[in-house]
Amino acid sequence: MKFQKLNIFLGLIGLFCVLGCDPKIDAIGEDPYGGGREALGISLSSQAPSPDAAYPGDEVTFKAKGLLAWSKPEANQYEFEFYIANEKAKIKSATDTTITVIIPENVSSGITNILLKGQVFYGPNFTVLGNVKIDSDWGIKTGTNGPVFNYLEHNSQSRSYYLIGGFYTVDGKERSKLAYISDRGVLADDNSSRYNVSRPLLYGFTSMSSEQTVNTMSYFSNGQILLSGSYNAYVYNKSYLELNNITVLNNNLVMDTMMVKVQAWGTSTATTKIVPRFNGGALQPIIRSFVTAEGKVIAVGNINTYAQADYAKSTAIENVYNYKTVASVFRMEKNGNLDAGYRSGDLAGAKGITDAYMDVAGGIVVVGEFTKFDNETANRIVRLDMDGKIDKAFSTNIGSGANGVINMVRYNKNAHKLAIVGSFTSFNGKPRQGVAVLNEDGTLDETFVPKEILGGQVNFASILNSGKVVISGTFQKYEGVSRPGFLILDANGQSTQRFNVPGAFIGQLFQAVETLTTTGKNGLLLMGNFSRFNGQRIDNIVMLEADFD
Amino acid sequence: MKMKIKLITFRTLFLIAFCYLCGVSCQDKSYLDDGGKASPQYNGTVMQFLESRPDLFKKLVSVIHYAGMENTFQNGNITFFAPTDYSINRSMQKLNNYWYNIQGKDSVSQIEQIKPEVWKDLLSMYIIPEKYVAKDIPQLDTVAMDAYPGQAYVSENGRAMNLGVVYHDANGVKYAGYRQLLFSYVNDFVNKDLTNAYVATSDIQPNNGVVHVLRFIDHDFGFNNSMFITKAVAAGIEPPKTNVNQ
Repeated sequence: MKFQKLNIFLGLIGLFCVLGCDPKIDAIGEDPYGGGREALGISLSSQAPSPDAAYPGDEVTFKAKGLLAWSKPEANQYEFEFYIANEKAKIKSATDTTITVIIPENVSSGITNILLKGQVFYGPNFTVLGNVKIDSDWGIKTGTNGPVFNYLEHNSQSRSYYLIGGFYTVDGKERSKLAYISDRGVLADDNSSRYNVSRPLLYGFTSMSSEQTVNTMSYFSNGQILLSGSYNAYVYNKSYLELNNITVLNNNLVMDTMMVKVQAWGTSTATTKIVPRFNGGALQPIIRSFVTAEGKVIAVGNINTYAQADYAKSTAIENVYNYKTVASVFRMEKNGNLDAGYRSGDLAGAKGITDAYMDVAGGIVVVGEFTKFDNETANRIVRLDMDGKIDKAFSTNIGSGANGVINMVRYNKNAHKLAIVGSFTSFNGKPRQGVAVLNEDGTLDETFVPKEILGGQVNFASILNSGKVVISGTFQKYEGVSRPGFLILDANGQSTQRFNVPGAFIGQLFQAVETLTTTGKNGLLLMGNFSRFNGQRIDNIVMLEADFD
Repeated sequence: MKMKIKLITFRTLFLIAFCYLCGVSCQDKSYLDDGGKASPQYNGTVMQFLESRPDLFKKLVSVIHYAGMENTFQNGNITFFAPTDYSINRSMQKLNNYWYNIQGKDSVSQIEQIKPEVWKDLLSMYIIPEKYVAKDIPQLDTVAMDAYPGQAYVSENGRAMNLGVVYHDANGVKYAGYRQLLFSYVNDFVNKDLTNAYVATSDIQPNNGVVHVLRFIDHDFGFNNSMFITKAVAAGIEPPKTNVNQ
């Protein structure tokens, strides 16, 4: 009886609940993802075209899908466009699954795509044939893990180079800021006779070591090597000896040292210690250093203090330094003593120096942000003669100079010319969009006239012995043609198609060295801080084969 | 007996009242509305929308003015992938680190120290002509790009940017979960090398287009720091203006 009642009540509750709810309410709305725009139904296959590489003017057939919906091949009408490396290619014919195009007369290698109604359909990478390509047999394959700033050709092994910069590894092998490669690009062992140091600069990622870089290396006539940059210790006998941004090494890169007497200190009874034989340096980073014809050393940078250790007052663990004020450029004797005969008097130097070179006559050309040097007007470039004083004739030839910062200068002593790059738009009143070539005497080279540069700036320019000019930067177009970041220009600034086939370059070049490839052809060794060359992942160093005939 | 009847009646009344309450309470349908469907429409232009959210877009709005791009955001029919101020600040900090710590130059903290053309060049990559809401955009699977590549659209910059909708998995069922827009800078499509920026809020629809706000925790303005730094430095860094309040 009780059970029955309970069941009736429960049944009623259930009934009321069901009746109370309105079954007409939509529990599920419309599909929030439905109703979008129709896809265009077209695609370009990533399969290699036929042929897979071609010269300008050749016909190439690519595989595709759904083309007929957007074209009338019999009437030669196509709603879509075809591009190779952002250059439009003429469509010769199409079926529903293939498209044949003619390679444009001016084009670099790069990715292909179809453009339809503002949408891009990517295809494969296409190689445009020409006179420049990567030397695939060259020893270094993946590159370095930090910038390569500079190089030094070995004094007895021609086309073998010391590489210097801010890297820790070369092709995955540990090399701290300094490496040696043979003429075939093979990395030398770290116990090679030419490279008898394992970790020349402090290795690792501590704050002190990671900012250490070297950027200039040069030979003395006796085969010793001058090394400068931004570093404060160099390896000696498994420990590091203290120095100030510059030192002298023996021919095998082992530091040139001497034994000196020092003060005893605390519990230490040592009264001698081993120190660098070259006793001189700068408290600020050295941008460039040079060995003069007399075997002296010139250093350039945003430097105001010369430092020399006074070992007679020093102890085994701590050096006492004597300081002298210098003005941006100073000269030292082979032993590191400051040369008082150079840039004597109360000189001001300049602020914002970015680069410098020594010309064949022994003069130093300095560039940067400055508009005055030693308190005399000098618009971002100045030449100092043998005694360090401003070369007035050069200043006259410069005229009004650059109207913006000069970031870099590269000098070709065979061509007696220099290339400058920066954020200027004119030089001595003549329009030059961030890149200019000057003669050694400071006059503007009127034959090299850069063409229209779009999409970015030029941040590197270097003159080859033939007069051609290698430029690179963030630009995307040159003279109206898509040329992403790297060009080999003719001496008049023209970009000839066959020398400009490589694809996208991303980064900053520091050096372009004329040498020979592994097969003995003309080679161009590029060094810098870059991640891509010809659209491929390559880090900071690459060898090109360039047929300039 | 009397007591017993009373008790039963009371219990009966209670149950009837309970059933009545169940019935009545079910008449109120408001509980079926959750937070409600937020309206994706915004009554104003893209520019006005950005200006209405200074918590996210104060710096972005100043960049738009400084680069002279107001007209595009006021009048153009656009799809805008909005980078937040956090993204802009992060790139500025990395530029400053390069410029101040490595190059030893005066610090960079104000957007006006970078040339307006650099801002315009980079910001126009975030603008796609015409209106594309999430459902207009094809599927993208970052680990199966051959099957689901999304779709590349030409941006205002002229450069093609890749758009795609990532179908997330749900309870182990592939592609059954929520969907998220992905906006990518194409380094190299052939090698599937894209720099991705996930969208945090999609389909905000002002009168002249649609805004998809990029997730700020991991997006740097300009997609690629070295490109931002190289472009800013190559165009020239201006000295800081002392009278600007930051």
